[in-house]
Amino acid sequence: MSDELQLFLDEAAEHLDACDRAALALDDGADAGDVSSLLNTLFRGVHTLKGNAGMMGMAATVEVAHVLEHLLDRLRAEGRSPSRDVVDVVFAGLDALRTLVHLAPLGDEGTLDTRDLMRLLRTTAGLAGAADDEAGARYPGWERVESPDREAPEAGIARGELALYALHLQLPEVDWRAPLDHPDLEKLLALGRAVAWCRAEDGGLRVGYVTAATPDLVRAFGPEGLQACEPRPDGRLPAPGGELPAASPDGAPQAPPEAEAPGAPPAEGGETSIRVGITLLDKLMNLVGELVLTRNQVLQVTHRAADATLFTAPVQRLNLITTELQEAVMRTRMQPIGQVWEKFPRLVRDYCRQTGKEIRLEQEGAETELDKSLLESIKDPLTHLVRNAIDHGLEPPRDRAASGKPATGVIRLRARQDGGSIMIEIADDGRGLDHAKIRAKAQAAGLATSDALARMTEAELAQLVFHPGFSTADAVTDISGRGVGMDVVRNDVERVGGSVELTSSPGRGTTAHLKIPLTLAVIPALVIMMGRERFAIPQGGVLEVVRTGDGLQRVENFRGARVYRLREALVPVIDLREALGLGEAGDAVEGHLVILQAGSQVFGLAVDEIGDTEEIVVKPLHRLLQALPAFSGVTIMGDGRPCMILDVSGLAACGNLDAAAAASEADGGGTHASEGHRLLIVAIGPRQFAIPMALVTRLEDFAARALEQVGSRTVVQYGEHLLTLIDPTGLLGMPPLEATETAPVVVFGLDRRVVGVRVSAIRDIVEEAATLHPARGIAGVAGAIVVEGKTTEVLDVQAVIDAALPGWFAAGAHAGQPDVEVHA
Amino acid sequence: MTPTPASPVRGPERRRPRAGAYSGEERRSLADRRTENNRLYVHFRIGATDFLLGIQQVQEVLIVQEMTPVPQAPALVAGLINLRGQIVPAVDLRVALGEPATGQDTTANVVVRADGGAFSIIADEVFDVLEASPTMLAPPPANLVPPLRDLTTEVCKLPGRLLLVMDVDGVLRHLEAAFGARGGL
Repeated sequence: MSDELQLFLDEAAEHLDACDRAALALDDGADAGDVSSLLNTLFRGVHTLKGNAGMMGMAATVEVAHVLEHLLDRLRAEGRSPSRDVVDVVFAGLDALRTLVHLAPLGDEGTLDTRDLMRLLRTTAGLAGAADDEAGARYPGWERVESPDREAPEAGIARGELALYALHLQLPEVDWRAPLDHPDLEKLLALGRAVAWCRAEDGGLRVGYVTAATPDLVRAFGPEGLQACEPRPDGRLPAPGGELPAASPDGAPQAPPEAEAPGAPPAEGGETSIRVGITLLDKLMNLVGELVLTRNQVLQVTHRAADATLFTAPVQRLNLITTELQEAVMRTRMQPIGQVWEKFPRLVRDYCRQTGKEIRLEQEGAETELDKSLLESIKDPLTHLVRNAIDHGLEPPRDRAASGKPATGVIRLRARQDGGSIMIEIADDGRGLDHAKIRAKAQAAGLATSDALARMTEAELAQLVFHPGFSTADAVTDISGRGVGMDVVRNDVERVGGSVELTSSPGRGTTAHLKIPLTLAVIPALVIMMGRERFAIPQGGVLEVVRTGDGLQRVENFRGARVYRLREALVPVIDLREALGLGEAGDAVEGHLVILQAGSQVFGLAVDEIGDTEEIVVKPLHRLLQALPAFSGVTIMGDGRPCMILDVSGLAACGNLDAAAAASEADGGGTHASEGHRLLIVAIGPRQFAIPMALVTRLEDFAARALEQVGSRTVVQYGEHLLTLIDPTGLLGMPPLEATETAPVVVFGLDRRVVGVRVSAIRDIVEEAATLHPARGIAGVAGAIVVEGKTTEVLDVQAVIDAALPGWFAAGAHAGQPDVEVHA
Repeated sequence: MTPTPASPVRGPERRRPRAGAYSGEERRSLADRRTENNRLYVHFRIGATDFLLGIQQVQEVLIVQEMTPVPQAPALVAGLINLRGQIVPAVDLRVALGEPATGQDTTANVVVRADGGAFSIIADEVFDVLEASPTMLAPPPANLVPPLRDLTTEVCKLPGRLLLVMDVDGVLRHLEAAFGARGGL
């Protein structure tokens, strides 16, 4: 795309945005003084766009702009606030212009059928009032082209210093609607100026031309196509014979006196700015990054130098200037978030007009700035959230009245900077999320078991809406439409290192909270060491860092799968050395685990050492290296050496966690029966038992000395609670468990209550599509299955718990919670 | 042969032309054959093989103290080097030529311009810029062994020996194949 075209598109977008703003303000019922200035703004925008489009040879755009301009001029003459219907027509015209401008670079300008729109615009202009078009009356039927800030030629003509000529030209390649910048006319225009122009009856061009030169001179300077040069001593131009295009039945209105020269963007608030290509800014950013690194190296050298005093002052100044320069260059890429928000009033207005809802849009912190490229990438998610709020969040006026709320719903957009992040809120005062329906929907979609859902807090339930499983058409009616594409919103936001959350209170409204990093180019990262090599992990994926080793929680090897007990969760552990193929996983006693989150997968990354958190400049990898799954980019450290940036999701894939997560998700999405096929194999005394994994909350291994006797019960301190431990041997008719150093325990949970069953050893988790052979009359045994060729008894968990703690299940049932469904 | 102002070797890391890189006879042969159509090549050695690279394709030549290894990448990729903010992978063709990988911290690098991003070729020695007339060049012999054959576009016939003109696209193809063979991991 040529620079010229790009400039045109940028400016056209600016003009149209300014017009949209003005039209919206008109729609809000501005008072008389404002109406005229708003209409002038609209007129100027459309007029300038018409001129620019003419220069680009975009005939259809010029045509629509011309008629819209005419309508606006009529409205201006009327001098009162236009009706909503008329503003609708203005919007339709602006929308058509926007579409045409977008089509133009593709050469598809002609594909948009504007006939209906043109008819509508003309009819509306006719209805808008029949005030005399004084401006157009000066040269009736002619179109003024000259910049209106120039002195009117009449005085000069009256004094005899200037002469007016009506020229007739045959220049087929000149579009009569476009400004006269044709090279053939250059000489002529150097001699005088064109004040008006129109199409001639024979398809040529008629130009009203003012000059101090004589007719002979005009003829001599005119192009070959100059056919007639008729002096007009009366200062009037003859009405152009023949038919003018229907687009302009009564001629075009005159540009308002305060109009700017075509090509100048609407300068609001007297700001001075220039356009700079984003690639140049990127380059500047790059160079400044390099300067910062070099500055760091100079600082290091100075510290080491024997006689540093000479350098100290200039180096300190270099330090300061570099920091300021870096900030300034970063700021060049920053844009106010209002740029995205300004589309929303229009969205809200159109929706209200269609549905009869009444909505007030409030904005706070529109001036909050963030990186241009980030702004682009959060545009869609924000629009989606606003649309959700107006469409589904806010109730119809009748429902609002019924619940005692004002008829006008409020959507509040709020943005503020918080450290290195931008917090954005989109709040509505609508009906809020329906938690019961979310539960039902989540269960139907198999996202979680009923007891898991019952345990969830409202905040956790709200997060379910972001699950891809919710993105079904069904959800539109089931849960107030939220969730349609919410997973897309989350993906978009997370891709730029942000996060999104929903909070809601029933009947009072829903708020979406977005947290977006200030800039993409510089991200905070945790530096870790593996042997001699350093790696950076983007801070966004890091949940926490834990130490492992003697006297601390260890990484356990569970049948080749390394796991770590993180408080109440069991997380898989990937050894970075192994994942990157640098060597065998170390079984070092001491080490560090970085707990990472990739999507819904939480895992630990075993590393040698933890370094500092640093702000790093992300650079892309060479094309070939982008195929490496474990890395997302590269950065340059303070010492000038490149450092690879680890890709958290890629690491999960390297550790085969992706497949596992997918498998468990598939399980979750299936029926309970399939989940029942994952079996925990434990030993109790000499016998082997299977327990359906679906029932198991956690696996624990307590130190024997941690067990306490309280009355007849064995308990253990478990987080903030006491966990009752059941010894199933009594029920199973076996001798009590032998005292060992550690006590392996299978923990079962129901409605926030947990209970543990002691076993001799936890052996394995197997996937078995086994057939259960039911057993009757054996206490504590539900049946038997064949696991890996070995007959295994299935523990009747309910019976075991019931025998030791009668009423434990009932307590849950009394609280209105569903029972644990025992399969097996 | 006179030092050429167009030499890409620059900065403090400039490598001195090694005395004795070309014999007297070679010098005469080069001088004799000078014509308008002479082209400039950077001359370097990898293991036992001498290569030439068209000067338009060479961005710069530099000595690298240390580079950052790239785990998971084929052995052909020796590491990453920081070229004033531009990060380029360094390719160790010794592996492809069946010689032991460098294993040294300090290496001479010929940075090559290429589609899809610059990369660097690790050389044992970088000699000088050589000016050669088209008559000195010939297509590579058909019986050239496979790895060399793929990496060569032409052969420069010095009286006493042959220098291979390196094919940058061939090197890229070789790299791509290595990444492909590494598999999806």
